[in-house]
Amino acid sequence: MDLYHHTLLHQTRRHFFGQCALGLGSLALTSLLGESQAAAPAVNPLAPKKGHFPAKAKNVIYLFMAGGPSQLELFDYKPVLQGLHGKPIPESFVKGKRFAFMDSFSKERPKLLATKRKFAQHGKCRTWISEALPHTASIVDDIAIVRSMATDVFNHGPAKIFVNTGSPQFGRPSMGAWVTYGIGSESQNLPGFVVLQSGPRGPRGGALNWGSGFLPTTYQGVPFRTGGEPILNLTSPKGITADRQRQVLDAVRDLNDARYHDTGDAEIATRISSYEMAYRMQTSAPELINIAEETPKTLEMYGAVPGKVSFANNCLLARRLIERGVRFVQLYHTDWDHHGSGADNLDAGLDLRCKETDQPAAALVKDLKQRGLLDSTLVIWGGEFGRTPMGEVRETVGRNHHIDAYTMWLAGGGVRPGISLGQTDELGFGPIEDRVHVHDLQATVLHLLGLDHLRLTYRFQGRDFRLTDVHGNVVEKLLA
Amino acid sequence: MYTYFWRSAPFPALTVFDAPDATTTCTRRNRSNTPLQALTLLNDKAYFEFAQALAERVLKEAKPDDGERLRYAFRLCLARSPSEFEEKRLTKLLERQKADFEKSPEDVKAVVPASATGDTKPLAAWVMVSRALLNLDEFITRE
Repeated sequence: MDLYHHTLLHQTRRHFFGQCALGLGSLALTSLLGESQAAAPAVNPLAPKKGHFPAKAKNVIYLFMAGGPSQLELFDYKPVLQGLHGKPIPESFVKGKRFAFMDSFSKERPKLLATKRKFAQHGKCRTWISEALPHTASIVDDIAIVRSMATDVFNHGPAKIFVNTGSPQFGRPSMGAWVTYGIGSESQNLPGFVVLQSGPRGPRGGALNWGSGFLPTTYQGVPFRTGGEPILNLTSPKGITADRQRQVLDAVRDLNDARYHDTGDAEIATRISSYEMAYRMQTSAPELINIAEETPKTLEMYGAVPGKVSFANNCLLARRLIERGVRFVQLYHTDWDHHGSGADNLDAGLDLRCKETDQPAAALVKDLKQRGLLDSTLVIWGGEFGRTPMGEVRETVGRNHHIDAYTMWLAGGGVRPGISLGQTDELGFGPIEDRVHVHDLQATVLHLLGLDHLRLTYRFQGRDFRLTDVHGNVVEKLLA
Repeated sequence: MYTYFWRSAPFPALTVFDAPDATTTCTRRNRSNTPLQALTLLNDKAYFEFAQALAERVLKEAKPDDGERLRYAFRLCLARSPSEFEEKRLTKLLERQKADFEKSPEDVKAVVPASATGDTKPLAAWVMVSRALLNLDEFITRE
């Protein structure tokens, strides 16, 4: 390769279009990019757009239970498993399979672990829920429980990224990014996709779970902080009035605009929108994050305490966010990864997680229903995989990661209420009816929002990508 | 520059710019572009102090003429001279801020560094121009 081409390869895009000797001005550039010569980025990329067909769901609140909650302790009642406690699992189940932690499973055939939790039937739909989730048990007639979820990935980081982006390898847009890319957001003063976190640490995979991948960065999830003020720096420095702030922003915008015309770099357009959004957030966000203005009754229903950091506070904040038009709110709560190491066990460990999440999750559904918002809000509850019917041999009681069958629930937004979809075999190992793969879930979520997962695509690296990649079927049985 | 960074409570101004959390390896940095970053660059105390310091430096080192000062500040930040449009636009900001601060001596006091002495009204206006320069996309983004 001659020196000229070598140098060319190392030019950045901006330098190439702005200053190189070929003299490509912005005129040539826009025709190359196939865009109209219209004004730069005064257009709001997050403006609400029509989907592929009309839909009930307008907003999503995704309660992501990070770590893999144990469905056998919570939702999937297996009396046969109870009777087989301590027996090695029949070889036919585990032959040739790989698990996240193999050392405890490869020395000898793993032994089945019964649950200590008592199950009972609840609601008009008479579905089985364990004693660990008393509040969720009270809303079973409003939710659809899927016990036959299946995934392909058995480790946390890749599995979370898989659920969020459709691929276990990072680099692809997350669900929230696809949704805001597809239908924008009703809120002009707040980001379209917000991420709230609670628990001892963030989810594995971190920002990749709510990233925009190859979509323009304006569609990425915006995380609010977990401690202190959810949004820092909402107030301008002392002495800077709103008008002075505006003047500085106007100057910055004008100069950025000129730069955009010189280089055509879409990231500058995102930068301009981000600054405009920041200014609007300065006025609207302080009121939004002040959950103290809710009635005492509401705060009590969620178990929310203003000023504290909790999943309960985040659920309440999520409702406030969607009321103000935020399209997609994703909550992460760590950690459900109960292998049986020390405090991470299915006894006190699971109790603690349930105490933190059961009441607020149920309160959220009840609250949305009372306010007439449940029909237009899709609520999703679940983790990145489930837990094995076999116990793991550690200090205390635990289960390994399990991908063949686990449980999630959905509510609102056009989901059929009061149903249970899917069944697992007698040991709770694999699905025997209505298997719902992660890609099927993704297709269904998009469908409920009025988007056809086959048509919501983006051309990148020479082919059309989509959230469901080349898989996925809408689960008709979940639709109301 | 140094600051404290705890794994369990990472420094927010770094996290907002995708600093990897120190609990897992990071093979490639994410590069996001969010309104939270804009809020940090505009309003965070540290960044405001940078703008104050830039304004003081410009007034100290450049020739005592607004045009010279502007070109000097611009070259300090972006390693190039401003275009005619850019110079005109920033001059407009400077003039408006000067006129604005004439009417509010308390705000002048709040905006300039505590150690500033003498007639601080021009300095206040230059702090605003510095804030604008330090928030330009071209300044923030290096390729």
